[in-house]
Amino acid sequence: MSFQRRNESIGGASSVRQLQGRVSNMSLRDQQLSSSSPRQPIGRNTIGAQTTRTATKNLINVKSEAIKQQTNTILGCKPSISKSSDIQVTSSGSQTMDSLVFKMHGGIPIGTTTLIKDISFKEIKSEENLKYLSSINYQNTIGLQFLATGVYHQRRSMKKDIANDNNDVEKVGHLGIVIGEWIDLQDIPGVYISKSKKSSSSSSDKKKEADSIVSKLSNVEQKRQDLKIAWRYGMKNNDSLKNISGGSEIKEDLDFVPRLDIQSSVFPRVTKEEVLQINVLGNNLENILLSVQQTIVKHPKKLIRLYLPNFLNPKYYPKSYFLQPNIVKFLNGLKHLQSLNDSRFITLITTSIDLNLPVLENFSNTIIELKPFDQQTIDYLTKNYKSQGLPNKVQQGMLNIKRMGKVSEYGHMDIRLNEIVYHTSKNGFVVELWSIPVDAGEDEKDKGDKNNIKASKSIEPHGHDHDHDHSHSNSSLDY
Amino acid sequence: MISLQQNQDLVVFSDHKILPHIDNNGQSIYSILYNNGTYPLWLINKIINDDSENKKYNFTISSFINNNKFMKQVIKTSSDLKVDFVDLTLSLQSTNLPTIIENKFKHITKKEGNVLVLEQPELLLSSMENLTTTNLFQQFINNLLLDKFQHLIIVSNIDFYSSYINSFHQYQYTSYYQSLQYKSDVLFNVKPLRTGFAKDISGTLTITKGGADSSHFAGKTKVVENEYFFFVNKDGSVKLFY
Repeated sequence: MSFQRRNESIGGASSVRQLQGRVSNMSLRDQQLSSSSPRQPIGRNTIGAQTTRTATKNLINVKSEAIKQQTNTILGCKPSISKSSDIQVTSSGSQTMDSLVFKMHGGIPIGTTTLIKDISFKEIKSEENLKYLSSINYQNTIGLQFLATGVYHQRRSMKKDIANDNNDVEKVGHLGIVIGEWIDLQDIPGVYISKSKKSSSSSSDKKKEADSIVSKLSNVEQKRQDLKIAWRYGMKNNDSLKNISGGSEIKEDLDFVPRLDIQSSVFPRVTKEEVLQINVLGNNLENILLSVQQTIVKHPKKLIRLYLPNFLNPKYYPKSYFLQPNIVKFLNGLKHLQSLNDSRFITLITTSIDLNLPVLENFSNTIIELKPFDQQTIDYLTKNYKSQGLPNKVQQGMLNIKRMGKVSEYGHMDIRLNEIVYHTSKNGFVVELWSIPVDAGEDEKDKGDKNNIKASKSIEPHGHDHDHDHSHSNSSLDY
Repeated sequence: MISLQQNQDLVVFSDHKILPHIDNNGQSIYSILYNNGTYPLWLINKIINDDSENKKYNFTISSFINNNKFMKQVIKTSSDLKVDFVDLTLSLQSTNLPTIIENKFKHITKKEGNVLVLEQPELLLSSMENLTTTNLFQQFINNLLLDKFQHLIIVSNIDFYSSYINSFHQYQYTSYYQSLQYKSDVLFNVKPLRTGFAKDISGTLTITKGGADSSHFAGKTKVVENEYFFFVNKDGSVKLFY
């Protein structure tokens, strides 16, 4: 493909986009007018919308072709690992999320909405669990990482030296939009500097170390006790083996996902050009949608990362937001925007289940549920991991996938229940495959077993998990 | 495992038809109910493509949730079928029900042989203020059947159904599903596996007779009630088996 052609199409696209922006702006304003005065006859409005649709439809076709050539220049994007079509993905901000939760793609497919909902409320029965009501933190960790990834790529795009391979190609960054004034932009985590190199090189050493430990252990006579230890280490080793065999997807790719340190904050401070914050108070859903749209039009090339934290949480959203027609119209408008800009727009919504709004799920492409463990399970896990010397490994809950963007829409089934667990560490939100740790309760065996039963009851692991466990134990026995 | 299972044909009626054979004035409703995660795209494709007399019909595909861009991409039909797409996604911004039919289905003048696949009309219950199920049926669905379409395939997401009703909308949604079951001739229930992902089964499809009076079906055909497992292959093809 010659450069001339590319330049041509880019120029064409931008003029098209301007036009389209104007057109869709009009239609939105039109809609706003009509919905603010519902008594007005609606015929004009729908016809208006219809004509703009047909007008924009042609434009979209032209545009989508033009944009396809550009996508390569947006930093932090890569083609999905599913070979079915030309889906582009970008990072969710967490490496493990990308490789486990978005396993089908290797990242969040661009042009989709991801809904992360917290289902802790439903499970609460006793008072001691009440502290898990504040699990908003997990969600916001993901959200902040999501934004930080955008900032990271945006800053990379501003650096000149990245364009070393081809100076003619413009590097395009990301733009974050966060809706909600309660998110402190200073909390956006920074990149793990200098130490990152050190630790990434040492991680391979660690793997070797783990390998050597296992090989040493496997040389030891196969007494029961030793086997048990070997199994423990084997499990650990297996994980790292998986990392290796997982190959390209789990391998650190700094062009795709930055290594974040959630204890630090990004420096220098995030500017308006990197993350735009839209207030909720004194605003309404229509205006929010309008400002999102204007921002998209204003930045015709950037990848837009829209983050709606604690969506419709009564703590932050005033009562006026809770009108279902308005919510549906907002989500509908958002979906429409997304379809118009499906090569450079992703949305992340976090919410909690007590605002059980099926509409929200209906309009999302990916639905992820976070289900914190109950106290009993946490105690059990803490006890066992501590005895293994891995106190940081304690998982906080189950992550269930109810629907997967660009997979479920096509009729494929990708529901994952009780397969993945999550916890937040200093590297951010981390997910891993669920496996029940070795029971450490030697001296209190009876008690331990009882706990084990209770724990497994409350977690309800299904057949596949057991399969995993078997594979773990089998492969470690080979050593 | 998969290859061992014998592939079953989708059969809805005792004469091996999928779409009902109805006389000129008759009308019928199919409803496809699904959960998040088992979007029954394959079933829509199958109903349109696998009926032996499908060339007699004019199909119209409309959705309140997926726009035409998406639907045109995923509804795959052989070239000799008459398929039309009507985008209803922006109708959710509308506040007047009858005008949707007037504006969007203006081009349809007679109902003979017209089949409409209508996805998620229940979203209107949320998007329009104070719309009740009764009004939705009277002003929208029944009107579509009155002089535009002979056969209606309604695709609805059953996740809105709730047995604990504590709001106006929940009540409307729940009664919507109930009325739908009474009004349909055939119910297709597409459910995911309860245990989550499996390599060789995607979910179950249950075909049952709905509450509608079936005397208008010509030739005294009956609905064959059945339950299948289904598996959606990577390429989108579907295998039905017991």
